Amino acid sequence: MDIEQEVADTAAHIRAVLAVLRELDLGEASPARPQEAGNAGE
Amino acid sequence: MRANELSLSEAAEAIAARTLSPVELTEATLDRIASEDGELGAYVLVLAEQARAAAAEAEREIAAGNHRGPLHGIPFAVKDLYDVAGLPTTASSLAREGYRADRDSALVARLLGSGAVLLGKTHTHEFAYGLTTPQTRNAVRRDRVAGGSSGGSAVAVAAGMASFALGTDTGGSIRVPAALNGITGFKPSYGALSLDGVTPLSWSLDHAGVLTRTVRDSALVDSVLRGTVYPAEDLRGLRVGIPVNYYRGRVDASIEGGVRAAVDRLRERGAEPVEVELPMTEYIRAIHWGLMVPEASAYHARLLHAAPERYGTDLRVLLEAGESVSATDYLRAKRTQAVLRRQWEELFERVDVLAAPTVPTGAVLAGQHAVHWPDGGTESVTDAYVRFTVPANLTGLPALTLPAGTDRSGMPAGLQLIGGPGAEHAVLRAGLAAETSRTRTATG
Repeated sequence: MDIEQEVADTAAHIRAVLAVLRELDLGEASPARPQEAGNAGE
Repeated sequence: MRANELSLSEAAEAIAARTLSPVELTEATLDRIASEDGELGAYVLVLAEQARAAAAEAEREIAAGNHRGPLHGIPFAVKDLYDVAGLPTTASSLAREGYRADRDSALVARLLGSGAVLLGKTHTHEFAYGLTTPQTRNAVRRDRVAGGSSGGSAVAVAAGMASFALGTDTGGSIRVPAALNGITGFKPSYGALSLDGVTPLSWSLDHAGVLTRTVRDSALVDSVLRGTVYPAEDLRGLRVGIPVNYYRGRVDASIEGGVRAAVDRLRERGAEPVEVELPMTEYIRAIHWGLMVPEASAYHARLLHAAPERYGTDLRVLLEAGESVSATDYLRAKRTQAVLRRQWEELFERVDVLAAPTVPTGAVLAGQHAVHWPDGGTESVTDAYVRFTVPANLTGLPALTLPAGTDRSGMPAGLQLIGGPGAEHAVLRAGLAAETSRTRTATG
């Protein structure tokens, strides 16, 4: 298999793994860690 | 017993009592490297003459009454992601050809300042992006993988070719090779140890840490690196969380038995087991990939596009594929990580540590790509090895592995202890008790 095909297959696999995160309702969750968020309420 | 076979703690006590010379210890360790490392392949670079000179200097200082502390005169190795002034940092990759550090990484500077003797730099899975370290062979059985990505550091310590070593851990890269080679690995909380001067894999998940032969040794190095107090072994009142999910199912039955026996020993020492259900485990793999994959691709982008042929094919494919992860998917992973971390931290209102297997299987044969489970399922070796360790990277919680039992083929496995936020003390306290109990059992 050529590298371009391997990259395409791997990218598709990664997208499939990440898809589960789209099920979640994350509400107001901030991406910051607590020490980075300060008083932002995370 | 040769000097290099002593644990770090034993060697430190002997050096302090002046019954062991740093020169003797370093020479014994260099002899071991000379006789074994041709086959084991743990080291990228051995600094024999530099180490001899540093050991001689340590000996002179100690003789003059200037004993700097427990690591003075102790030989150690660093994973070749840590910068050392004047030396290449290869990351075990051709892509790093020509790179030479102009200053020491923060932890190397701290260790050299404590009088420890640098032996050399150890192999990593290329740029720490993998769990096997193919350049290096397992210290227990040479037809098996070393584990990774700190495989060289683990094998150097396990084979008596260093008294301790530094590693990094993004999904389990200290704890997995430590478990597979029958030694101890300790990763304090996210940010507790500086990564200044260390080649990153994933900024959100990278942790620095140490590989040693015993928990006592890990506590000793931690006391120097973080200035912490040595923990006591009294376990009365310590609540040990036993997961009823996630760490079950696809795990070697013999390894599960070893963990159960270790927990029983903790209970005999006064700990109280508490069953706990771990939250959000169905998202662990996606959060891990959603953070590590694009962050690694971002770090490597410039060099990857300039000279892709300098990367190994497996790594090149992962890095190129990682560029297709969208910003919204990445941020979704970051936000989910924040929720996961908060929910796991709440667990630690009910328990002090979690006890679980470090790996679901022992070291597989070199070149093996998949693990076949009794339920008929198949899992890649990398996915299997990272599965039990990565929660402590996503949550940033302190985690320790120590030897506990074997898999069904007799290869070493580990008991993993995960503590609450900033609770390194509880992790080491439980680990020390488990280690002492195991030693007592082993010696009758």
